[in-house]
Amino acid sequence: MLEVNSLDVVVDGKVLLRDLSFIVELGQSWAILGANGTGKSSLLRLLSGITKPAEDDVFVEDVALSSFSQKSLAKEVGLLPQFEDHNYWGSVSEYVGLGRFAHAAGLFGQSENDQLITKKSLENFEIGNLSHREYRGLSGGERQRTRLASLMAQDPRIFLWDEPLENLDYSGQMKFLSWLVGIVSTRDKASMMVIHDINLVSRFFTHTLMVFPDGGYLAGVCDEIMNCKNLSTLYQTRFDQVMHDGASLFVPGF
Amino acid sequence: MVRMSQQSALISVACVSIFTSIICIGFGSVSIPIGLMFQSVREADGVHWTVLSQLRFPRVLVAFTSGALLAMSGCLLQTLLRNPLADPYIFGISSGASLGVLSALVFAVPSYSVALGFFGASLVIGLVAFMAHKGSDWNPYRLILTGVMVSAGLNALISLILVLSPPNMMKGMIFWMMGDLTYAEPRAWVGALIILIIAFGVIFGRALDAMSLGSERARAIGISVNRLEYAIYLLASFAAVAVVVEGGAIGFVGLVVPHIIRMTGIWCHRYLIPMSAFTGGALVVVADTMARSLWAPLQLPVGVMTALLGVPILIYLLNKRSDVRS
Repeated sequence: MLEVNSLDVVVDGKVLLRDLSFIVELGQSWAILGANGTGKSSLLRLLSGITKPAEDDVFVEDVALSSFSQKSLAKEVGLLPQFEDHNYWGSVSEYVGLGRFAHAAGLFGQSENDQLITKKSLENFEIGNLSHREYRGLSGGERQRTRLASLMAQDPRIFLWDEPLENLDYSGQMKFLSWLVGIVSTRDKASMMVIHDINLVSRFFTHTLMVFPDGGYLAGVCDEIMNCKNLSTLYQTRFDQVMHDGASLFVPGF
Repeated sequence: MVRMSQQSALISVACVSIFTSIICIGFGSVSIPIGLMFQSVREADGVHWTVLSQLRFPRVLVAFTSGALLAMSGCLLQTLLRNPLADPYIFGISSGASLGVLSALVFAVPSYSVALGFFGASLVIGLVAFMAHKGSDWNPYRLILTGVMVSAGLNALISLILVLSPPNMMKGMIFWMMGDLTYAEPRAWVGALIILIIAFGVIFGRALDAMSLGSERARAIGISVNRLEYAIYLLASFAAVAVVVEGGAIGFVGLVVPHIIRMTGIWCHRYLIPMSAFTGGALVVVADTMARSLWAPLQLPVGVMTALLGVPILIYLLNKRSDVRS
């Protein structure tokens, strides 16, 4: 579905990740792990087509990203960036409705279907009761739920999330991740997520992409590459593995 | 406060602005009450008809179109630059136009003033866009700084011209630079530009709304940000040029009007842009009417009056609304 073929992630002339190749299929959910500043967000920007690579190295079903229009691309790949400007004046439901931009056929307003999907997204993230509130007046966590709901409303085939758990409380995190597992496994979607909580990875994800500080990477099934050795190289920190209820947890040491 | 729907707010603002403007036609050194006005329009003859058709109506029309263009230009630029301080002159368009027009005055070719003003402003539009670019990208920050620098450089040249010009010309020049509609004439293409910008605002309203999330997020939901930004830049700039070459740099309308409207709870560009047009138009009409009738027959520059009217309104609204954030 999403194919990356020897992609270099270059930021301001500096090569952060070298010669990256992997394929994300529908039904897979990838965690992207790596230390701060290793180019994870820049990678997501390239995968979503927001920034253009020097060569055509990213493909959706064998079609290079550069041959999509911005609008048709938004239906294939949807990114929720880590940051955005916060001067949006509208209400919560209007914010979530923006996610339907690429789908709205008419110039004026939204179709009934768009409104229905917007409503469903609001309810899914339990912000239906906030729908008429001003977006700018929300708390950090409420704002984050609204942002997540807007990407759900956008309904791309491949979801790209840049640290989406930020500001969410534990119940919000668990509900979001369970929802994601649900749609990825049943609705022919794929997902990639930059995440720092390594103990959620084996539980909620099928694959992991590790990007190392030296520009190298490791991509594979979670069970195969999630181990203390890789994590230690990844974060330059010692890790201990402990077993809990048959699942392994990783505890950073000193 | 009763929350009106945005549609009914737009319709009320349109009606009030047009009504206000019609009333203002009657004011001036010869006051024509509205009853008499309708009578002379029906008869299409007599001294009042001459005053109305030759002086008042064109003057009010040009004031209205200037205000409409400035307000929409300011609104678009505030969206483009994601900066509440943006106004139509932030890129130095008025300075470029002023330089052209003042040169025409200095070299005693006043009939070329519109052409030279237009040329100077277009040069600035091109120059700022070119210099603010880096690769295929331009960001609001670089665009603002480039514009402010170009503007500062041109203003220095303008000061130089003012200082070196003969004293008898200086007052006229300063008057013009403050914004003065005395010699302005209504033009058909200005009307066309207004309709074009309103249509743009209505059709691309949702995309414009989404620009407030920043270009990255806007692109991620499927907006062709670069193309949209070019369109905003060109429309907003030429709206400002259309005003400046005729009536000088009428200040404050472009900055204040969009804020006034947003503070009343209208923020969708689909409504914000047309409402800016009507409100800006009415504001300049009222300001210009005051400018030409308060000390009649002496005329004041309209730019002074727009600020004197706009500032108190904005400060009042700012204080009334406790929840205005960045």
